[in-house]
Formats: sequence, C-alpha cells, structure tokens
Amino acid sequence: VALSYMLYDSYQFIETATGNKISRDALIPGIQRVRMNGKTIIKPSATLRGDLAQIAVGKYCVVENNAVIRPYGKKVKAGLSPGFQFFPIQLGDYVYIGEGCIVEAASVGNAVFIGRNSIVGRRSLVKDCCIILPDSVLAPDTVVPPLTVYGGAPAKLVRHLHPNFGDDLRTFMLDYYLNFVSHEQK
Amino acid sequence: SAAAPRVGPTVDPSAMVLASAVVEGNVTVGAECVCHPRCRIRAVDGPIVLGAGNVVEEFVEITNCSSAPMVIGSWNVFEVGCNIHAQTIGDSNVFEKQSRVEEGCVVGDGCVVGVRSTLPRGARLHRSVSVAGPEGHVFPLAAELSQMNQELAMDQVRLSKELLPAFHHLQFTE
Repeated sequence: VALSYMLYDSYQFIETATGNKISRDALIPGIQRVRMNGKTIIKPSATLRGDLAQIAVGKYCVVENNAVIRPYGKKVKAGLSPGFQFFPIQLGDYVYIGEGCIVEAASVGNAVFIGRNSIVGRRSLVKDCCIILPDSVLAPDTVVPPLTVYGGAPAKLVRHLHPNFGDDLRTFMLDYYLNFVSHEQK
Repeated sequence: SAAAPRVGPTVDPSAMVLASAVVEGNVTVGAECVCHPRCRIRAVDGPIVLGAGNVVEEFVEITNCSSAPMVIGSWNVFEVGCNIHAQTIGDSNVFEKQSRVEEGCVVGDGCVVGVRSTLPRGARLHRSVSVAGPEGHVFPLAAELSQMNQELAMDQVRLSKELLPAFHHLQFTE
C-alpha cells in the first residue's frame, strides 16, 4: 500500500527520544505508568488511562482520535490484594487502533488492526495477526485466535487470514510511521 | 423582567470531579461521586441532581435539555461514551459503553442498559431488567445482580479515591 504524507504542525506533537509522536491534546493521565517501546503515534483526543493501571504499548503502534485505552476493573477473591482492582493492559507491536475505539482488553498481540468505533470488551484477549472489523463489539472475555477476522455485534469469526497478513500489516505500519511527518521533516 | 441568574454547580466535598471534566449549570453532585476526565454533565435548562456514589466515566454526556429536573439516584455506573437524557434514574444501574437513554425515560433500580443499546423516548424500565441491542430488547435480571452492581460501584468509588488524586487535579475542592 502506498501512503501519501500525513503532515502535522510540529507544535501539535511531542517527539520523544525513542521516536514516539504524542499529541499535546491527547489525554494521558499517569503517563509515568505508560510504557511505549518507541515509534508509536498517539493522535489528538486519544485517551490512555495510565492512572488506573499500567499500560504497555509496543513499537510502531497508532492510536487514532477519540480512542480510549482503559484498564479493566474486576473483583478478585484471592491473591495478594483481594478486592476490586484495575488490571494492566499490554499492546503488542504494529497495533492499529481506529477512531473512537474503546479498548478494555487484557492484552492485544502483535500486528492487530482494530477498525474504527469498535469496542473491545473487558478482559478479552486479542492474539497476534487479527483484524477486528469496524463497528464491532467484542463481548467481555472473548479470545480472538491468531490470523482471524472478527466482526459484528457481538463479534464472531468472519473468516481466516492468509499467514502473510502479519508481514503485510507490519509494512503498512512502518509506512504509516514514515509518512506521518511534520511540515519541517517533509 | 430580568432573566433568572445562572446557578452554578453544587459539588459535595467528598465527591471527586477531575480537572478536565465539564460540569455546567444547575448541577448537584452528591457525596462520593467520581467524574472522570472528559465527561460532560450539563444542565442546559432544568437542574440535574446526582445522588451519592455515581461513577461517570470518560466521554459520558449527561444533559438535561427539558425544563423538568433530572433526578439520578445513587451508585449508578455510566460507562465510557454513554449519552443520558433521561428524566429519572433510580439506584445501582449500569449504563454500558455508548448506550443512549433518550428524553423522558424513567429507569428504575438495578437495571443494565447494554452496549450501544438505545432506550427510546419516554420508555419506562422497572426493577432489575436489562436492555440489549439497538432495538432495545428487554430481559429480566436476577435480583442478586443489582445488589452486585451496587457493590461493584462502591468498590470502584473506593479504589478511585485512592488512585486518582495522585494523578489529577480536582475541581470544586477548597
């Protein structure tokens, strides 16, 4: 896929030493508890609730406008600290989270494309190389197996993917990052 | 005659309204409420009265456009992106993500409005029912579930009181 330049004004985004591009309008409370492995783009008005629990984001991820990444809360009966608590979220590498998504998953694997306005329910597990179609609702505790397409409300298996999908999405995400530049960097 | 002076919000000292939350107009926020950032509670015309221990998450819009007061009970959870225009809401309900409650609705106690479902204008929900899907199918719920919802809301409030002040500025606190 050939992408054209996506240009932004340099004052709108902060570029960190590891190449993360984070919008100044993004809401990231508790940013000290958000770990990004670099080259991740966080668009304006995205929300990452690091104050509730830790959020780990891999490299070459994109979080689009109005997306919410929110650790899920659950009551645990046994363990070190029983009672209601929030659990950390892990996002893998090459994850695309579309506009207006709400992600409350336990973990999202590598090379996952989540279409716009979809809801990834509480404590669901999204494995590697998946597509979640736009406007779908993943019920809580769903497990999305590798190389599948899930869609609908509640989301069901739509079809299987070609094993090359991971590579395709990786090139797409690399392209996305390289084309997302400020006017000066062009 | 001169227009009545605009009344500002009244917030209980034990409630937490985080810095980027919007609370406008004649809104009364009860004890122990938690209003997360980017939620909007707006009394455009009539007043809004929130009871104790409500949890209002991000992108929730609670708007009262009618002249009648909107009364919300206690221990309700409004999840991310839901849109509330109801007339009366009881206790320990859950409004799931992106659900929508239109004007003039009356919601009882212990109800669950499911993900992306809509309660049409003037709908009435009694005790312990759940609404699912965009067509708004209504199912009965076990009575213990509403008790559980209330406990979960209480736990969530308790945990938020520990977690959030470390990371946020609060509004309406002296």
